[in-house]
Amino acid sequence: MDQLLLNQGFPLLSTLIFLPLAGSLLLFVVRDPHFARYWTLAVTSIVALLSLTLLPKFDRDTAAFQFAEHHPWIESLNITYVIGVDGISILLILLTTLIMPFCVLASWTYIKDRVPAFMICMLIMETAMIGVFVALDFVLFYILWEAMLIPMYFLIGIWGGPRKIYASIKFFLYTLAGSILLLVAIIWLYTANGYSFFIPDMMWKDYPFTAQILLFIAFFLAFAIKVPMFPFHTWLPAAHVEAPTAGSVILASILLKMGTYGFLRFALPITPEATTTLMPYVLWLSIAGIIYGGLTALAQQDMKKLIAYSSVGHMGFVTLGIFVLNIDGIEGAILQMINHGITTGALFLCVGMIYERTHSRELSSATGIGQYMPVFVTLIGIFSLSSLAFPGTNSFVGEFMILAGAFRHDVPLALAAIPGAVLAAAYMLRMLQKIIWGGTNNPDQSWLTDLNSREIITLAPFLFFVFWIGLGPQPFLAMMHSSVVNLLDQFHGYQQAITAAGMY
Amino acid sequence: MAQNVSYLGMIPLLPLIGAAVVGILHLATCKKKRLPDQLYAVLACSTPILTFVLAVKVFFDLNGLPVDGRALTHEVFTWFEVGEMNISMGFLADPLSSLMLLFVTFTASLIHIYSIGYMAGDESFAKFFAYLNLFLGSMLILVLGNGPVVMFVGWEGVGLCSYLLISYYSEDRSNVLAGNKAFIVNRIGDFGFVLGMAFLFWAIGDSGFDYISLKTNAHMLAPATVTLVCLLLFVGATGKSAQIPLYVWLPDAMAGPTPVSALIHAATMVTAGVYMVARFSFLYVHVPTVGLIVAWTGILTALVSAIYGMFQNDIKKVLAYSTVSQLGYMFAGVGLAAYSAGIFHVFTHAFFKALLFLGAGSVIYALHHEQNIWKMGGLKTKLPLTYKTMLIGSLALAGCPPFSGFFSKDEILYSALASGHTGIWVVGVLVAGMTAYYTFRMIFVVFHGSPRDAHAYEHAHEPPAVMTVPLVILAIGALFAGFLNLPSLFGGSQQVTHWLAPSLAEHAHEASHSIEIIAIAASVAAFAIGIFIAYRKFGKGAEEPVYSGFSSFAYHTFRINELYDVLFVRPYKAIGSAIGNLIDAHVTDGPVQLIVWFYRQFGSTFKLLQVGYVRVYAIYMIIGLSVMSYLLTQSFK
Repeated sequence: MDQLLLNQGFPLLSTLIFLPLAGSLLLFVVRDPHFARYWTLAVTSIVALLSLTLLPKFDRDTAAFQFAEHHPWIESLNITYVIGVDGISILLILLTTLIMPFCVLASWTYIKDRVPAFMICMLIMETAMIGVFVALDFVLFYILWEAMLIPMYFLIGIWGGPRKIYASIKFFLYTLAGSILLLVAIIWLYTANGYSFFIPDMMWKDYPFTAQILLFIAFFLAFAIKVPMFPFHTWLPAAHVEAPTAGSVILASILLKMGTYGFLRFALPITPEATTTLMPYVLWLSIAGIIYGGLTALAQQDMKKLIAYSSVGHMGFVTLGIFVLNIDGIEGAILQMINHGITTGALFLCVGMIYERTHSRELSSATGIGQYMPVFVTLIGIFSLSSLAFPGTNSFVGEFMILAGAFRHDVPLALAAIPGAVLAAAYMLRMLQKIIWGGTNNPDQSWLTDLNSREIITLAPFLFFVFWIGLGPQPFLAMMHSSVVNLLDQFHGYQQAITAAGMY
Repeated sequence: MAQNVSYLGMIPLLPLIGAAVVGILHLATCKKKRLPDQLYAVLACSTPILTFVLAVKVFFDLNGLPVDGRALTHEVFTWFEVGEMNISMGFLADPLSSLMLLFVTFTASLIHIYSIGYMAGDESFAKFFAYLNLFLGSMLILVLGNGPVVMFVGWEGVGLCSYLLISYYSEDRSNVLAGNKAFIVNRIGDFGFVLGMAFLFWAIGDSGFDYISLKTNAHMLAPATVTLVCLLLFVGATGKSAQIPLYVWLPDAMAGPTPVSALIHAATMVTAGVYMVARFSFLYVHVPTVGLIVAWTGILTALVSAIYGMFQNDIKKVLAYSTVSQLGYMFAGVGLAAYSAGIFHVFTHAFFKALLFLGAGSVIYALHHEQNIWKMGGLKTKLPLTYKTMLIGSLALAGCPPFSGFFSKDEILYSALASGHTGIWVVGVLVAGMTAYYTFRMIFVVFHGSPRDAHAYEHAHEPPAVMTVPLVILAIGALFAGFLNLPSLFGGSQQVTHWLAPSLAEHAHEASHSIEIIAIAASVAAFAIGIFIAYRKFGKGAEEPVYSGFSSFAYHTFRINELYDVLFVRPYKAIGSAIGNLIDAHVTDGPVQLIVWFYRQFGSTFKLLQVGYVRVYAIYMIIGLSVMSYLLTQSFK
């Protein structure tokens, strides 16, 4: 277990995981909506502040799992409660904990009935999401992975739009079906590793080639549906459209990242040989997603759908970066995961703010609101620019690194990805143009009020990070650097070992 | 060696701060009590003036350095660094960028001041100035960036501001669409820029991606890579600088307020493509074939847009096509490796074209937003100052000696002739004649003859001093700027060419004075013929012509917009809507729906057995028990 740097003293990670869950218990008893809002905001804020204390103690020079905790759990099956953080997961955890209080703020007036139940779902969701990013035992991981579906199912199914039942069931069944094979893979790995579920021990082993291919396919199905990669994305627009704002934000900013996180954490280290073999297919599927997502977004009338399809394109860039398997690509991909979380999260918040006023997500009903809501359109304008990777904003750095990595890997591949950038400009501008200026027959919406201070506070941190990562991404890259270098060293070392073994 | 000076970072930063301050003040107060416009005017105009002062300082600092060491740099911070890749946010002032810096800040200051008058009383006065400051900041990043990536930041920034300002009068939907068109056409060009940059990075980016390192390492590039990079970068240039085939956005961009047309769509932003080619002269000089493509694209653009310019009715459209046409000349210059001639034309063009647009702005202002030249006429008595300054600008544009445009245009044409590209020279001279024709067609129709709209004429009056003083200053520039690069034929010493020499990879064309005299004589003759025909047709008043046949075809700009619409816009939209509305829901999601359907069928088959009658379930029970007991007896045998 030399991959773990055991936590000394206060069990910070466990606190982060279980504090929201514990906080939710009180809401089962106290059913006052107003209290529920303040209480959840307090709990998520404390978790956010606590998670920030990880930063000063986080060692950037090691690829090992830090703040690790290790306790026996179900000893007869050798299942342990083992958690830890490395450079790949730390930013994702911080993204999760920091975004949650703003999701609560965004639901402040948006959710009007069954508020305590809503907040309980949010808190359970947070526990499961943090857990997924820190779990180092495969059973623990799988339980939390599936556990996320339940609160999300309720978030969409109870507080969603008109077609909420269809959307929630499709979301639930589609993603659940994807993970079934993951369970089979876990059990196979369990038996192949001397009946242990400890994930770091499963990495870089010389599993037979066929087994690796099968494992990779199992991983791929589970993660590609979550990302979602084209053509496994059809659950996403439905879920996004129907989900309440907070649900959309969590879905876009965090849940989608679990798929790409899964690729980095499991597919690459556990099945390196299969990854090398199947890499070209995944790369071209990513390209297909970038173009397909962009073209589809171009034709949408529903703003949430438009952003949902743009996510398909953006996440295509992330998988592209991961599977070019060089440092520019992977670091760009991780950064882009964070960027997409910030930018798309903010865009969904913005659409939610329009929806609260006009009760419509149709572009046609939001035309020309720029003249009534100047602050709002300034903000949504900046987030849209970030979404189309405008230089100076966060996504530019990420996309630039991914494209540089893609170029290093294969020139035609990189060329094929670039039309996606033109498409991104086209569909985001189409939306912006309608919102800001509209046309000659704009509906008279002079009764619209501009953002209030709660809403501005909700969006301000997103704005801050758009420019911070856009202009000074170095601190973020430094945190992931050791882990990514280690991942790539191990990966290429493994390849060399395979080639060397093949020669005898 | 390059000197590090920290004030370089302040130059782009100042207008950006100005934009932020004005913008935030506007957002915070626009719904409540509005702050006085004068406050915004002072705030917004102070930043370009300050940057101009700094630009002058840059010039003198550079001048104090030895010729081969004329470079000031400042690295503000490391932008991002991964593995071998290291991109820094840094600035470089060398002779080329310092010249750009001088005229950009100079014209920007004047146009900011002019806008105080032109935009007075506008509902979102502050917003306009915030955008204008944001534009200037981006333009300065573009000019001063120390490498292609920083240049790209400015490149996209100016594109954004152009987009926002074209759509400024958003009540009219066509203005908004013009803004969109500008942004998307520019994005297509940027596609080339990004690719060129990516190839360059891929080839030699790991050993430094700023101009100085790139210049040092350029010899490591394979010839094919240089060709490819130069071609792709030129695609980017055709977008931003409105050349064939991407020029279509610029005439539409005239939808923006006139000061914007003067600053962004005439003097500064649209010349960014020429600047880029000159910046990468160390690559272009090695691929004369690409240079020839650049030159021919330029001169053909000049020809086509001059034809359009002869048949336009909107005063701003005439000037817009003349801008496209003049940009074509500049590309002809840099394409033939006469980089300093191209840049010198950028420089003089900034004065006389900004002047002409601002003059047109005064006319439009005086006539309460009338832009059709056939509604004007006889205005020289009503707007004498505007008339005189515009006349100077027109003489410069038409290439009348000794106005500035004559020297810079002549230098390009002379280089074409001296380097043996007679074809380009002939077209160039032809275009010069056409330029003189359409420019003076405009002058005669607008200012001479008798008024066509008596009512508008009666109410026309000279604009306030805040607008006329910039006109006068620019007119002085348009008149004298040419003397800065006086060729030896006229006893000059070509200061601008010598100043630019350290930045450009140019070899001077050695040619005899006799060729120079031929070039000048041809240009002057073309000018004289053009102006003569214009005088014959329009000098003593003329009625609005009815366009038919070729002239109607030219008036509709050869129906290029319609062609693009059919070829690109519609197919793109159709594919998008086919995927979005049909394929995604029915094809991509098909397998999923098939599985769902299968399960449903499976379930409903079994549903048939669930009839809900106790007697039926009793029969099931009996059947089940019988089967069980049969199996049990079998197993005990």
